[in-house]
Amino acid sequence: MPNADADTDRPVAPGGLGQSPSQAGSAVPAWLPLTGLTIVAAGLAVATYLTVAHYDTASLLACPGTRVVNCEKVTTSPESEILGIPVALLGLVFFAVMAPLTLPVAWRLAHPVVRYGRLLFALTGVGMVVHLVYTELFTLDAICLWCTAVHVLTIALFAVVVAGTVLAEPDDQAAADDHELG
Amino acid sequence: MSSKARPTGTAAQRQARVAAMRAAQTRKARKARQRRAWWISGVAVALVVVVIGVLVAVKVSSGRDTPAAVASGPASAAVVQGVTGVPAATLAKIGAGSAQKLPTPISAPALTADGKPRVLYIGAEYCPYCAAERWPMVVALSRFGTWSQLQATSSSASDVFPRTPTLSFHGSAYASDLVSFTGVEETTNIASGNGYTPLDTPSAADSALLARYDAPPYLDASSAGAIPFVDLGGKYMISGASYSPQVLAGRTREQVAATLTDPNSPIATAIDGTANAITAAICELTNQKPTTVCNERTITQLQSGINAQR
Repeated sequence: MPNADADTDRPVAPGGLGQSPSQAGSAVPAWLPLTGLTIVAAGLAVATYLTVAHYDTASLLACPGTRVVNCEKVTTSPESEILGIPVALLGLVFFAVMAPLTLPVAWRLAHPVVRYGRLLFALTGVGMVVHLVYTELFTLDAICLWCTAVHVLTIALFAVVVAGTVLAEPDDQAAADDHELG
Repeated sequence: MSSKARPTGTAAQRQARVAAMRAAQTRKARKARQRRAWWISGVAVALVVVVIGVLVAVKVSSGRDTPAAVASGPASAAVVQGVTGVPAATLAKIGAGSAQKLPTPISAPALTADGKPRVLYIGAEYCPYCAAERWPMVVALSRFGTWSQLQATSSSASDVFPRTPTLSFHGSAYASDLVSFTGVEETTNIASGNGYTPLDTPSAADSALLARYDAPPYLDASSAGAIPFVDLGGKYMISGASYSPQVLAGRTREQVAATLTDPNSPIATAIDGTANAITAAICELTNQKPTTVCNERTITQLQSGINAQR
C-alpha cells in the first residue's frame, strides 16, 4: 500500500529527487530545500529593501506613529554599519550566499566543507541576530520591524539548515543494519 | 537447540525476506533520523529564542534610560522676530533654495474654515521632521497673517536628530483674513511608555484626512500615516519634512532664526526655500492674494513647478 506521506517525504539524494535514502547514504526530504529557498527569497527581498532604505534617506524624512518601533533610527544609526559596511548590506550578502547553499543540488553534496560551512554560516547569521537585537534594545532603544523580519527569517533558516544537516548525515546506521542482517 | 531461526524456503524467498527486513530497518532508521533532526533543530532554535527572550526581559524589567526632555515654552522675542520677519527680498533671492520636495497636488474636496481656505498641520513635538517643517510653515504663513503666542520646543532627545530646535503649534495662535490654520501636536517630546505623552487630539475629520491623503497613491505604503502631514486647502499635501533636520543640528532657536536673513546660509536656503514652496501653494488657495506676495516671480515659478506634478 502506498505511503500517504510519500510525496512530502520524498528525499533529495544523489542522482535526483525520489531516490531512496539508502541509495544515497544521505538525504533530505524535498520540502526542506523548498522551505529553505522560500526563506532565502523572503530574506533577500527584505534585506534589499533595508539596503536601499539605508542609502536612500531622502525617502525617509518622516516620523512613524510610535517611538519604540522606529526603523529609521535603527537603519541610520552609527551601529547600522560595521567597519563602514551597512548591516543591511551584510544581511543581503548573507541571504545571497545562502541561496546557492540551500538549492536541492547543494543538499546532495556530501562534502564536509559544504555541509558544515553552510551550518557555520547559518550559525554566524544567528549570532549576528543576537548582537543586533541587543543593540536595538540596549544601545538604540528602538526596534525596526523590517529588521525584526530579517531576524526571524535568519533564525528560521538556521532551523532548516540544522535539520537538513542532521538528515543528510552519512547513513552509518544502514551499514550497521547490513552487517547485522548479513 | 540453536536460538537462531533456521532459514526456510528457497534462496529467492530468503533473499526477499532479507530485502524486506533491510527496507524495514531503513525506514526505521530514516524515521529515527527525522525525529533526531526535529529534536536538534528545535533545541537549537529554542536556545536562540531563550537568549533573545532574556534580552527582552532584561530590557523590559530595567526600563528605558531616557534622556531628559527639553522643556517647551513661549518663544523668545528674537526667535519670533526672526521667523516672522524674513525680508521678502531674501525670500525672493533664495527661491526654491535647497527644499528637497514641493507640495504634492491631491484630488480632494476643498478644505475650508470660516469661509477661508484652511491649512491643516498634524505632527508631534517629539518628531525631528516635524521640527524641521514647522520653521518654513511659520515663515510662509507669516506672509498671509499674524502669529501670536508662538511656542518653542525641541524634538526628542532620544530620537534621530536629537533636540532639533523648533517651534510648537500647541498653544500658538494664528490670525489671517485670507487663510485659516489648524496646528495639531499629537504628543509632547516627553517619553511615556512606548511613545510620548499625548498633547492635542485631531478631530475625527482631520484624522480622516490624514488617513486618506497621507497614504498611497500620494506616497509609498510604507510611509502611510507618517508625520508631519500638511493639508493645504484640500488641494496640496506635504508628508514628511522638505529638508533634513541635520541642517539644524547643534543650533539654538535663536541662531536658526537669526540666519534666516542670510541667503548664503544652508539653514536659510532650506527653511526659506521650503517656505517659498508652501507660500506658492497657499497663494493657489487664496486666489493669488496678497498680490505683493503671490505675484512675486519666485512664487509664480514655484506654482508652475507644483502644478506640473499633476
